[in-house]
Amino acid sequence: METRQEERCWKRIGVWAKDGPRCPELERVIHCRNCEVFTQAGRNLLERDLPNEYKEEWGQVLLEKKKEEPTGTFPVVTFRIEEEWLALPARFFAEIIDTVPIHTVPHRKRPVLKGVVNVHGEIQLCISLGHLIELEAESPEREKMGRRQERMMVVSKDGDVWVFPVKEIHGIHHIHPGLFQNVPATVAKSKSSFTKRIFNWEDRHVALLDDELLFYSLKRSVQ
Amino acid sequence: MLVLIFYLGDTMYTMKCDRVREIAPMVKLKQVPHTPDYFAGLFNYRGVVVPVVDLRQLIQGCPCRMRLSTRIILVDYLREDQTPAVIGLMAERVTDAARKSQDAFVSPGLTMQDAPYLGGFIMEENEMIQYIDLDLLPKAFRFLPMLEGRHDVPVKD
Repeated sequence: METRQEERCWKRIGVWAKDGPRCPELERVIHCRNCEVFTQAGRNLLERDLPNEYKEEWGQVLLEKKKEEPTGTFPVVTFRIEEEWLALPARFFAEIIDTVPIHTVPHRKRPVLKGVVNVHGEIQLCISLGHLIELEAESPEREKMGRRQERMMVVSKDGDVWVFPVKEIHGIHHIHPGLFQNVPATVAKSKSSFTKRIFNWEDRHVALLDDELLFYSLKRSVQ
Repeated sequence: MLVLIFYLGDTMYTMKCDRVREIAPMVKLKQVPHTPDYFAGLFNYRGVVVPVVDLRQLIQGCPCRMRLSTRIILVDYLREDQTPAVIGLMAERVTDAARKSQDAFVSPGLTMQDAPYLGGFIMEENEMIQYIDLDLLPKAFRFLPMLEGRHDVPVKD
């Protein structure tokens, strides 16, 4: 495994060669990154002297106590519909896609069903979650701020697939069940409450949706 | 079994990973006078003062080179009085771990009076890698002030 640093065979005869790969070793290793020569060259990068201040910097890092990661967390995806930040358990998410054109369905005047969309060549129902759970529309100022963050979430449960356009998606959060707060009674009693729990995230309250009720209502709403 | 591969000079050594708590980069160590030359110093590891031993100095008699791959292996061990503690072991080219079966560990039956922790080997296809026994290693540091067992202190009846 003798390698000279200046050899750089991966650029000369390997996969990054200008005139195409021709190293005989590629038969065996397929890609240079699997080859001992390349690995060893990478390891040799670590055989440099310590930079100045390296020891002080790491000394500072290591004297900090490690933060305990809470265990037993619960993954949710947080997203924004109109003005509200909502969350659904991550296990229902098939994927997040860029917005695609919605084809309206004739003779369907219900605002909940926005139409159908083409996801990887399959026709899926596109649902306005804002209408389903009766959220107020986004303020016009915010709407003007741009549609760059708009996405569509593809959600599936028991083989049914639903597509929801959302204004923004933040991503997956790991929430500890102890941080969930109960929904205020005034909200919980109202007919349209799909909120199961509330949790704080940064400076916002995020409503975790009641997935069972949500999917049940979805099925009802499109029948 | 997962083992850590590292070098002291040009010689490859290994140790079992089950006691290894963390691999830390090289940090600035607080030198302590009147300690053996293999005692590299102390550092503040997450709020605990941890002694660091230069393994190359201990085994080969010359200090570890200060390279980016020279790291401190933080190992859990039990003191003489059975209290848990952490010690740092400085070694070179700490860049790999490997899986070895239990059968690969062999002991040629050597017992070295001064280095009982160096008795075993891992058999490779074409070479033997000496492994450092972490059960026996801390006992070799008995005369370090930090690790001194209580029995060394005269007890009055």
